[in-house]
Amino acid sequence: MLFNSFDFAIFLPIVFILYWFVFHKSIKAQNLLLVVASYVFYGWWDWRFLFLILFSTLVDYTIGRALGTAQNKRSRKLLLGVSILVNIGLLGFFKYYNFFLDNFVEAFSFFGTSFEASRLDIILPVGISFYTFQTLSYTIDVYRKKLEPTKNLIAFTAFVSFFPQLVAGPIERATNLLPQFFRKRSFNTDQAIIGIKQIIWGLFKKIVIADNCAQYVNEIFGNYDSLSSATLLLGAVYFAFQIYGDFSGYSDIAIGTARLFNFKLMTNFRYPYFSRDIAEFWRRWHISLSTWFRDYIYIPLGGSRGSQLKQIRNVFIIFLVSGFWHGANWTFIVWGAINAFFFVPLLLTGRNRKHTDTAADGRFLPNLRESIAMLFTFAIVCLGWIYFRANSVEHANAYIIKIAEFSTEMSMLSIERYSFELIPLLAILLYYEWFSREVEFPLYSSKFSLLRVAVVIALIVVFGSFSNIQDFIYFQF
Amino acid sequence: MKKFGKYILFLLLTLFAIMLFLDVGYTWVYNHGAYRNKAMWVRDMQGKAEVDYIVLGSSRAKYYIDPKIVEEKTGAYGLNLGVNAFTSIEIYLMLEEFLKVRNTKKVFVQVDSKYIEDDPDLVGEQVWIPYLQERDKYEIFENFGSAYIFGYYVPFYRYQRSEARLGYRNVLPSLMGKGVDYEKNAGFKARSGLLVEDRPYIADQPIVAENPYFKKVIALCKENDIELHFFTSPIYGFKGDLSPLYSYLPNYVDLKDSLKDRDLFSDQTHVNERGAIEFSRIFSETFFNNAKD
Repeated sequence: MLFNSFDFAIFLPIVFILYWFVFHKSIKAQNLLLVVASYVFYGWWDWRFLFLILFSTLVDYTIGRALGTAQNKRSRKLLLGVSILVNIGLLGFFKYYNFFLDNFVEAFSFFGTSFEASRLDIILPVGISFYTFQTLSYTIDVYRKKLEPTKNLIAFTAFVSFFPQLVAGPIERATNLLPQFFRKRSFNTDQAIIGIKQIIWGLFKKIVIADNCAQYVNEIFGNYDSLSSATLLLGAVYFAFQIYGDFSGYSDIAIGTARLFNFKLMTNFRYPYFSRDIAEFWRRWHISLSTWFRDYIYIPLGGSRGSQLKQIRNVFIIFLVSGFWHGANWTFIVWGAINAFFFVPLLLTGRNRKHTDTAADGRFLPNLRESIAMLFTFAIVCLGWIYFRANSVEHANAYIIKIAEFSTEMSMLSIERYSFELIPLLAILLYYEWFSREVEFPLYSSKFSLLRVAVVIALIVVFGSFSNIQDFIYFQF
Repeated sequence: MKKFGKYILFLLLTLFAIMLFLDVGYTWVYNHGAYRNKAMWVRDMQGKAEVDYIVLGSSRAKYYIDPKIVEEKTGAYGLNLGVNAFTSIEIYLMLEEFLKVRNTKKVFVQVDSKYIEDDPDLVGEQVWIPYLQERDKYEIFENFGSAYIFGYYVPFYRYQRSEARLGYRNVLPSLMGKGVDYEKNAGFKARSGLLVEDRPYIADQPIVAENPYFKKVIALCKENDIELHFFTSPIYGFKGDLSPLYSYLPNYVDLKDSLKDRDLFSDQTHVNERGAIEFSRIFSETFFNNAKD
């Protein structure tokens, strides 16, 4: 079920009414309702996916319980290993099997041995990368004794499958989300109103920004060989806004929806395009995944401690794994490598935590230095996005070479058309975000709240791309 | 909860007010703005003199018959009201709309293997969507699913559903007076390009039954005492059976093979500018006795 669908517009009020008016007296009943609702929500895509999420849930629930009783270090390690093996195994099978197979075949043919291997004709279950990481966080935290294992299967199932963030995050930590299923939840009007505002803002980013950009991005990336450098450059910028609008829009809708049920999910984006270096960008982009990798991979590897070589190794591991997490394609790995390449110098010079405040803090506009830093960071990010969006590394390389040729041919699309249609919309987005960069999202502030919300609703109604509704990009991950 | 309920009510009312306001505004533009499509043009013809003929149909009418050439050859003054992707329903609506505001002596309707299609075309219908709330349009479209029913009852919904073609991209230029000058070429538009591939065009579906909307076209012309002709425009390498059309349509002429030269086509199903000149000549000679060489 898509957030931006008619089905969801019916589904959400029904669950909301049942939750607060029918099942409000018992936490257990509320949790059970959330489980049923989440399974309906997820099964809407394909009911067969439900078996997978149920299996993942039962494995980690059982291992969590076993970790609670096991005292022996070796058996605890073994249990953790089983959980990692099962979760990563599922992910590997559904997401990476064909990728590894193709690359093995290619590698063998490079050395002169060719063989036939049959690819698996399987659909990638929606959101599998998200919920496997979420359940893994539970087992790892129980193993590290940061969290008591739960005995409540319903609450645990609700935690794994919580529908607002099930298919595209934020990837919640068990330490944050799971305890919320055990506390009494009473209706909080302020939180619910903020939730609605956040949903509206998320819809604006998805329907107005991302889906409008998508039409042009698809055309530009699909016909890059016959387009001018300026158009290709614009295509990369539009993709930067498409993926931002799409993914952060989803996160906003997810967090806003959770607020309606009095759950607090972690912030996933904090105005990443106002970052002044790539390190700051990664503290503001897909925060739930970045911090997951930081806590469960980067720090155990040694983080920024140890020799410079070790630090560089750790940074590259984290970015390459992050790239690979996004998809079984070399394009994502190159994307990760580009980000690592620009991150390492900051780390080695001790400037990776230079910008922990907000850009132009206390000022109306950024100064020249900040503006240049932001533009430079955005350019690096766009370079990475070209690989992220391209069908193959060769496609991305050719796209970048074409930009560098400074060609002026425009056989198919006119740049004026793009400027006219999208630039004012992007300007509106940036205006809203810049002047709200101190708060969680632009409609959060109560100043002129009703008017601001009404304006955004009007923008959605007028400029929303309703005849070109696109799936959320991150569903494929 | 009461405060939240009030807030939701406020949002819903705001949404409704915005949609109502936009609906009224957009519809006003589609009734009074600069022409962005032929429906707008036709609806603004009130009080204009009778024409000798009109041509109705899809892009295979629009790009094929240049009324200026026909006028040069025959002296007959006509209009090309062909619109891309028009099928029987949209053709019928165009005729009905035209006859509300202006008279014609003859009607020429272009038909081909798409004759069989008797539901609205998602592209062709767009020109009528702004007027969906008019009773005669709605009575036709309501038979084709809930989208049209929502479009009739929910303000602005129909514009949102068709926002790529009827949204702000069209409304703003129309409001600013940036329209299409259909009068200049009497509705004809030339296509450029040359057909590259030489392969047959296979008709997608056989004609096995009479189309109710073409029957309505026939009835409407009879009622208004208008001479009606049907014809098929050239399609390069057409493979299919159009013979049932002789029994279903009065005065049907099959001209699908009247152009053979590949250079006269921009793609398999459309002629280019040279093809249009040639076909306009053939059209004049076929349907007007006084055509000059």
